[in-house]
Amino acid sequence: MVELISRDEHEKLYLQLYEILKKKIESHEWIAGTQIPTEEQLCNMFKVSRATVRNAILELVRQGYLIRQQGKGTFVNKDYIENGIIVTTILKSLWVKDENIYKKSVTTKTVMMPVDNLSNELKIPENKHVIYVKISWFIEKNPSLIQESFIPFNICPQILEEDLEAQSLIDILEKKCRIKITKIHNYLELNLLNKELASSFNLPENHPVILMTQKVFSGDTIVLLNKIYKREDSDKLFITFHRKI
Amino acid sequence: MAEKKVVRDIMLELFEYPHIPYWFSIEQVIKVMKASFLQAQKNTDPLVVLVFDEKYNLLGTVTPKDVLKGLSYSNLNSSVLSQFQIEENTEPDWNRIFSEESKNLTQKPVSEIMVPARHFVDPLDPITKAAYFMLNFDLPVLPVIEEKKKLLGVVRLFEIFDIISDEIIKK
Repeated sequence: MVELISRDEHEKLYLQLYEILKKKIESHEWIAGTQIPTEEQLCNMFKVSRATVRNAILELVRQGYLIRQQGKGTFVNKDYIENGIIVTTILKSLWVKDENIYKKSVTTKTVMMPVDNLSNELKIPENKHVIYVKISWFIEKNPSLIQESFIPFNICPQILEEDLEAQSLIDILEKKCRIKITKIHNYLELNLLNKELASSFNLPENHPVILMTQKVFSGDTIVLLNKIYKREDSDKLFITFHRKI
Repeated sequence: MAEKKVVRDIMLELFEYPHIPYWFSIEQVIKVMKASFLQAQKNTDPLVVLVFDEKYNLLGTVTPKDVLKGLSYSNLNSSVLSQFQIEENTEPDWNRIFSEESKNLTQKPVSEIMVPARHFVDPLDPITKAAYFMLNFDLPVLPVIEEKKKLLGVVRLFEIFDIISDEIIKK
């Protein structure tokens, strides 16, 4: 069955086509290792221009779903789909055992310059603006997690206008700003709370917490830096890895 | 005089200027100023840093002058010069204006030295209104607010001077 592209939606045509073709690969309608239809065939199937087809395919190649073979055509990349351990929970809004028990409170959404080491961590010049978000995650009345997020302003200015209590930063980056997340690096370390964070947790200064520093990439660009502070309590950080079949 | 032009015509983007939250220390402001103006060799006159709260509301502005005043001995109040003078008719000890105490003062939050944003204009206001506020309250930049809520940008004296002086010369 050919899914239709909606011309009423604001979403660009090639991104709609990208999603449709991606589904065909993930659902095995297009079998790994086989050749996909030609650009001309896809144009006819979806009633779109060659440029739209080309852009969608280019994105699928970039994401590793397809591979191009010179003089032969474009094929479904069997290695990417069938092999490898994939972290899926990482794209959820929170990385804890059961996020439903948490109440989210966005306490800060403002703009700052990346002073101290922040420009190095984000790999941007010190004179570039950064969106700063602070979120407290409560269990009952106690803050269990505090999340500080830093996004280079030029990556997704729209974040300033969005309701962050209703959606995750990653969702906004991907769905509203069309930033494709390609990898996420996580660093875990023991950290001593500074005065301000200690006050947010209602804990004494220098109290030990777990700090997860998370760098979210699109290609080689860091699009989001999260610093997530977790105090000791009955709940645990939870990250799952599974093999995508 | 200059009635035809409105504030919107001379407004600068907010992101022409560095942004900081009010809890930044004076030391951090100094770093921001050096990185944004000196190292970047971008001398957008006037050198102003915009100070915001947690909800991205503009609280005030801070300039190099405000920083130096904040770090100076007793903030250079009126009686300070007499304290520097050991004997009558002697030259004050100028080195005491910025002393060891200045280093401690760098840890104060910027909110203590910023100039609060109390005056605003609408994008459709005449430029002469913006000129009035800037001249009477000695403002480095004047915030432009739409429908008394949304911060759109700032105006500075340079463009106001340009337009008003042109009108005067023409007349």
